[in-house]
Amino acid sequence: MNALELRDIHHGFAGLQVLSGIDLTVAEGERHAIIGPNGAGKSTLFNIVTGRFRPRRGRVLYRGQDITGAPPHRIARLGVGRSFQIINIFPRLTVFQNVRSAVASRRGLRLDAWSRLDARSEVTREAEAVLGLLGLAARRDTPASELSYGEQRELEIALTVAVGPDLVLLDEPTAGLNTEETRKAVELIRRVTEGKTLVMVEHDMDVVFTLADRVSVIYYGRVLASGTPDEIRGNEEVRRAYLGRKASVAGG
Amino acid sequence: MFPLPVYATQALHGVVYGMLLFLVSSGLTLVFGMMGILNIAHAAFYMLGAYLAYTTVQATGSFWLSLALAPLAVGALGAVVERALLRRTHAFGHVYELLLTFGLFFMIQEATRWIWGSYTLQVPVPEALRGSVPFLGSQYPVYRLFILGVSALIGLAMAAVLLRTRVGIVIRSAVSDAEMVSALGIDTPRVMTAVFAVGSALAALAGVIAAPFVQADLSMGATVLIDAFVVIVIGGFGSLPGALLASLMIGELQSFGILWFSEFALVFEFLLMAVVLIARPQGLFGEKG
Amino acid sequence: MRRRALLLAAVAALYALPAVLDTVRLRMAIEILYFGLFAVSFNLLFGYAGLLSFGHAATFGVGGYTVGLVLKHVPGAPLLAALVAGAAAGALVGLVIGAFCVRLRGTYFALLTLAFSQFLYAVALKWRAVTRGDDGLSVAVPDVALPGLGVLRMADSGGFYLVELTIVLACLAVAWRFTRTPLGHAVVLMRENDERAAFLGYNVFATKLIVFTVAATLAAVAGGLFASFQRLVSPAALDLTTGTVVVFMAVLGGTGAFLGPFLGAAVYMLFQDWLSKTTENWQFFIGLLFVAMILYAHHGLIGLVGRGWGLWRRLARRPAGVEEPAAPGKL
Repeated sequence: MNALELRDIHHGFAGLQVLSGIDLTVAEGERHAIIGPNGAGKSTLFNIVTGRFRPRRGRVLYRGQDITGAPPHRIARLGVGRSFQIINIFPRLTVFQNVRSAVASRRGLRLDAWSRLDARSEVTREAEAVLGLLGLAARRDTPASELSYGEQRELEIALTVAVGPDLVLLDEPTAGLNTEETRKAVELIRRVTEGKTLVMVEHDMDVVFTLADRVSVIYYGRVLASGTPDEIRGNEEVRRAYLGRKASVAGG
Repeated sequence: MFPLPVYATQALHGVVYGMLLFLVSSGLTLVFGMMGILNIAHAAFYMLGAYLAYTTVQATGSFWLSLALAPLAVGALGAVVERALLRRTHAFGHVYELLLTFGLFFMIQEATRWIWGSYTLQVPVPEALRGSVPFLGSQYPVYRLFILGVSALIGLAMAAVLLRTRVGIVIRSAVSDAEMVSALGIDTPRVMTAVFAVGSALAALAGVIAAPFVQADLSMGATVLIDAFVVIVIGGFGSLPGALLASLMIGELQSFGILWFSEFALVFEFLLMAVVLIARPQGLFGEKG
Repeated sequence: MRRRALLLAAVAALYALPAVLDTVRLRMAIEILYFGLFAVSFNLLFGYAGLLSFGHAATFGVGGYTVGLVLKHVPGAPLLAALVAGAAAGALVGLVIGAFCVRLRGTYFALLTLAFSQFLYAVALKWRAVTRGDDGLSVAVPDVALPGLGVLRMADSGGFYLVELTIVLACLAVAWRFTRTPLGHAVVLMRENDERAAFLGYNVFATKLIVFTVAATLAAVAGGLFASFQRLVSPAALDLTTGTVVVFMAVLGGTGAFLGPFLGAAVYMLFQDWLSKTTENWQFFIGLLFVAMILYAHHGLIGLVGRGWGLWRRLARRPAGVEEPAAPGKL
């Protein structure tokens, strides 16, 4: 059974067709990168998978289960976690409170209107463990808005994985990071997605070729090509359309 | 049930009140569309217009003068409110902006009570507009037709400015997407102050015109406030055509509502607003989100 | 430990007030108690959930009318039963109104809550058969019998105060506990970023609806106490003024702390009392105060105290705590 399957996804806004028949399969445990020019519809795809939009046409299957158009919170609870391209955290809450919110949800403590949250030591411990895993333990009591950009990106990923998803969707996780920060982020991503399925939208080709088992190229609403990083690198059509003049791509 | 002329008269009443309501709501909806703020004090500006008309007439005997003075004074007040007060609260979030306008509404209402007292003040219909004209077998007051005429004229003038002039295009764009307009190099803050001031002036003008009709009273603000809210919810925040349509709807609803349901007219208004808010929050003509 | 001792001492002091205060001041305390509860319930929506309601008077009035109607039509009903009925009615109405309103945010939410409360106001005004319309419903409050200890006369301010204090403290304890629960924390998440909360698995609608209902229920209890004390409930309990005053109180006291609105209610009542004796135009000054607070101290009196405290700490060169505007956690 595949972790994620997209069948003939069509979507558009106000007369503009964004996705015109996306077919994609991601196997369990696979690390899959989605690349393509801006505006090609990559974020829209994530929005559709995670339930923010219902596609005009097509089906989304998570582990064989049809989740097309299901509400975001239901999809999240099934085990799909997603990060955002533009940092989407709880800025006025502390780093700890941010992560704890995800942990509480993972433990089903959402509509509990009786027990005291801070009396739940297992929640506190788990949240602190996540902070440790992400290297944010020192910033535990800092309001999230006061973190550096790189740290906020780490918190963004922390929130995504702290809900305990089996399918992790990362939307441009290294956007805006310098070389050193990117390197750290890649290591982090590798660590936290151990044993999980990862689908990642990325622009940085080095990151893609380091992390990904398979790559799909989305070009103006369609999947142009799908295969291993080497296959994609060698693909003529892809080169012409997208990789083209990118000198940073090694080999070729 | 009722003879035809009665229906026709009621329908005309509805249009008159509807147009007056449009005059009030147009400024409100533009400000909301552009700045995302529902200016509750707008209703107080309307009330101020009526009271200023009273004082102008008392002092100079000229109603026509108040048509110019009141909007100018209140427009200036609006500009000050926007620049000095609203800007400050902008950083705190929409909710606090709303609360500020709310507090201002209250303050202006109480200041009005302080200055002019609690009693209803009579503003006489100007000489030239007294009397009535024959209409469908009975008579229709000239002054109401004047209200209709002026509102329609101003509505047309607004349409002309917004559709034909460069200023108008800037304003319409800003209502649609203020950030974009700012990115294009246009002094958005200034446009906002201007729109706010003009909106406030329009509210005051509506108040002046309404004064001989409804008399200057402290409850004016609250009454028109509720109606204006309903109008811009139904018509769509930021949409002038929507405001026009909704104003006429509410005008007719109130007119016939009083005829048929008397006590429940208000209830219907709220029901309508609630339905729109639930089923189509962006209103008939508004844009989503 | 020390905090708990202080709390107990404060509660004991509150119970001792009837022995110390004269009737006039005691009556003021009674009013502060139910308005305080009303304002705290409002703040569950505003401070915690970030939802500004202009129609919170709706269930305040429902509570008042229910108590009045129960005491009128159910012979021998004890006051507590009437209040429970009021709370239940408030919960039901809150659930219905909330189901419509919590789907919306910001200005839209404020307007819809206003619409509902205006609708209920119209009902209270027109349904003369049940509510007696403008004349108001008179409320005959039976004395409260304490098994083994005697009877507390409701006509006596002291007696009423003690019963009311117990009820209000119980409600505040429930509300405070509520804010400490996972659900209480969840609604704060939604105030901050309800999109992310949904993507983390939280059911935003259900969470907000529950909070709305709880707030409505507490407001209904406050309304029931109000009706019992005034011995009269009229449509004014549901009108725009009542809905407005509770907003003033909460903002004045400070929406960033649980008891901030309670403080606001106390200050408002005392200030209004003094001010109305000083000038005829006291409402203008209340409005002016409100506007000034929004502009310069929108975290309310608690915020000012907090700033003063922070300043003091900085002057004494001790590390200041993390400044969290409008976040829960402080008593």
